[in-house]
Amino acid sequence: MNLISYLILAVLIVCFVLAVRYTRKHGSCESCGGNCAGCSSAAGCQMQQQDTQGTKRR
Amino acid sequence: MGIKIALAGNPNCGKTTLFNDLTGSTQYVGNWPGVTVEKKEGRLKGDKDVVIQDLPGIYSLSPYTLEEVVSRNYLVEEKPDVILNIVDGTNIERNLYLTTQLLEIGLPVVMAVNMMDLVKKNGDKIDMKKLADALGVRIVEISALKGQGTQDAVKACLEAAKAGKTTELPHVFTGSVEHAIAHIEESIEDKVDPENLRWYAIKVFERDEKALEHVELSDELKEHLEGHIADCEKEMDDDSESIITNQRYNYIQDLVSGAVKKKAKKGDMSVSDKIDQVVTNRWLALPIFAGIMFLVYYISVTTLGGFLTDWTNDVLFGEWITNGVTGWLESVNAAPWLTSLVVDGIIGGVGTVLGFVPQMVLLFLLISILEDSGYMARIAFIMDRVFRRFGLSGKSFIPMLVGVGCGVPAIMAARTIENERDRRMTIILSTFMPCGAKTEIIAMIALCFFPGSKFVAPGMYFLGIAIVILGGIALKKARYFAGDPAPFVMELPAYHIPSVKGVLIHTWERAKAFMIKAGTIIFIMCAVLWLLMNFNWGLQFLDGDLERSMLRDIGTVLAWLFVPLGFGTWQGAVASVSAEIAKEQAVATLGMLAHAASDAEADMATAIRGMFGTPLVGLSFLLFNIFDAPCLVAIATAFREQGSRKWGWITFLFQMGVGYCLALCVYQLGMLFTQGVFGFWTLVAIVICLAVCYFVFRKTPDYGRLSDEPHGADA
Repeated sequence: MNLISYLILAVLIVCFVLAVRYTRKHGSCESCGGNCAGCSSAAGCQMQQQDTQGTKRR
Repeated sequence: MGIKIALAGNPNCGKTTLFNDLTGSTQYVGNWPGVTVEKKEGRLKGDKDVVIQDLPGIYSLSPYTLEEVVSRNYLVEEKPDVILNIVDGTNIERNLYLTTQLLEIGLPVVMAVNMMDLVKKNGDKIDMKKLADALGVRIVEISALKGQGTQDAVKACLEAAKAGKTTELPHVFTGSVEHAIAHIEESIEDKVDPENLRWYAIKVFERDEKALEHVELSDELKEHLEGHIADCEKEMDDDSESIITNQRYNYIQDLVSGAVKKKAKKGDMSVSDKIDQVVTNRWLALPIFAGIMFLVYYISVTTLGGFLTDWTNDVLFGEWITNGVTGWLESVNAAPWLTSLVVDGIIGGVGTVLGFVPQMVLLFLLISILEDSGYMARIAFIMDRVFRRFGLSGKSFIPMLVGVGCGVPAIMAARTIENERDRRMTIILSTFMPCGAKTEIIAMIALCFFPGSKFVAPGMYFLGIAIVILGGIALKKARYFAGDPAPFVMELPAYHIPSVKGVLIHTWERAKAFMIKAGTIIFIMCAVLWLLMNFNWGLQFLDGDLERSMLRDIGTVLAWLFVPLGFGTWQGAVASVSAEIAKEQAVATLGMLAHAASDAEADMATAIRGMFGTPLVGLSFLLFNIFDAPCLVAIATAFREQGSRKWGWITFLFQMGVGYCLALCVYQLGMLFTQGVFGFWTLVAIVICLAVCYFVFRKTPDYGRLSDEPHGADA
């Protein structure tokens, strides 16, 4: 393996780590991985993050 | 110290549109009830000290629905500095019912009369001064959609919050009611905050259970106050809650008759009414709905979308990116396995998913236009008529409308259904509507096995509705779900030409979510699958020899599960199992396998056809992956929303069962009719068909109950 191969591999590893980090961060509130601003129920996820007992239901 | 402004108003009066305008946010705006299930917070553009709280749309502050509970708890317990009451100017009489209640909370209130552009266009006149004087609040005219007057509304709110005082309340109630309320106020003044005194007193008069719990009256005091309330009820010959409701409406009628002049006479039909005469017509509604949805899928998946996707798959990713990256990697002497990882793993997987983005964008664009125009709200109304015939409520269809975008918010939208058994059933059924990710599988299978076919994509959408209806009928005949459907009341918004900005924002938000997913979950999965696909158990690079790979061995172990469905190959098994992580992963996995098996992306369709063989197997694969359990995140959401592990498993197994049985029946009966093949699994398919017919068409057993609460509820 030459130097450029190591560099490409390093870039891919960084991308992989960032993708795992993003998924873990959002996965903790069971997000669909999409943009919460576009979701009508995004607050449910935020509440879930804050309160592991779940969202309030009547 | 920051100032908190709470946006409160009726459903569909423009709260979220105003919220987006003030905060620069792009929260989802829909024009059917329940779009905002929970409150959302944002900061004012240009002044981060001002917090704007978007509350769910409500008609009153009675704790009957989840939205009402969320809004009321926030206003009464968390006490924002000022309430910005959004009032739909085209429907002012009904909107003022909530206004009279908001004033009683005791917080400063500013009223923003929205849709003033429409009011003026209709030729109606509202005497704002007269309204402001009568209600004792400052009124601002706004058009949230056009961003007119919104800054004036904020300015008025900031002034009201700084002043902090509420003005004298309007005289809504008559003498004897006021007398009883005054007695209650005296009795509870040391139990509640002084600004909330009036509101709690009225709620106690209405015998609101939650308010009574809060004030904790002694039995003696309760009995004393009950005497006053009963006297009032006797005098008015009505129950206390109805007395309050009637007197509020009487007050509003008097106020509106003096302050609002409508140009149209009573009985005159608006343009929306005229359109609705055709669009929601008893006989024409369903054919029009079917025609519109057929067109949406025909344009987005088959014609224009198909053309765009062909270009992105064949030219952009197939030639330009693949050849460009391969050439560059070879020119810099990159290791062969690294070239394979980038080209076959990442471009082959993530690139294939992104290749279908044009179709998704077109689909989301057309659906956004339908939503913004007001037509989607009619679909819930139309489907209520169909659903009700089978014992379901149109309210259950709203999550299914949301589900066309993504199954997760669809499951969460079921929270607005108060009846527990209907809510559970809606969670079970809502993900049968093909979401955006599933549409990508449809597009890929259509491209590979049924190129140019008009009916595959719309067919899957209508099959989704059919499964929801048939599944609903069968479940409704089970003991737990039996019972009358919950009543469904919704306000149909006026039709209007969708704003370009709004439609583009909706489309962009959905497409962005799609691309984020491709760059995160799909990217991770592709990297892992590439590793399994290109190395053996001794971790030796196989250089394209997939038959010795770890993935092949894993797929072979799982393949027997799919033999009755016709795709009992390791490739079919791996694609189906990986689709449970995210549905687009089926496309990515097939793309990677096709990429590894062919020299150019242009051969993707041929390579995938080679994996499955006949179109019947392709159809079976499609049906299984569309109608089985949704992705992992949606499954987890269903477990959470069902509120119990038992119901989570019931949901998962029901969905898996439907997908598996449907694919099995289609493949086995297809083989019987096309090739005359009859075997053990053909017999199983016939038994399944007979069982489905029995559960759908059997007479509803008499469970001997009419109560609203289900038996055996364990949530």
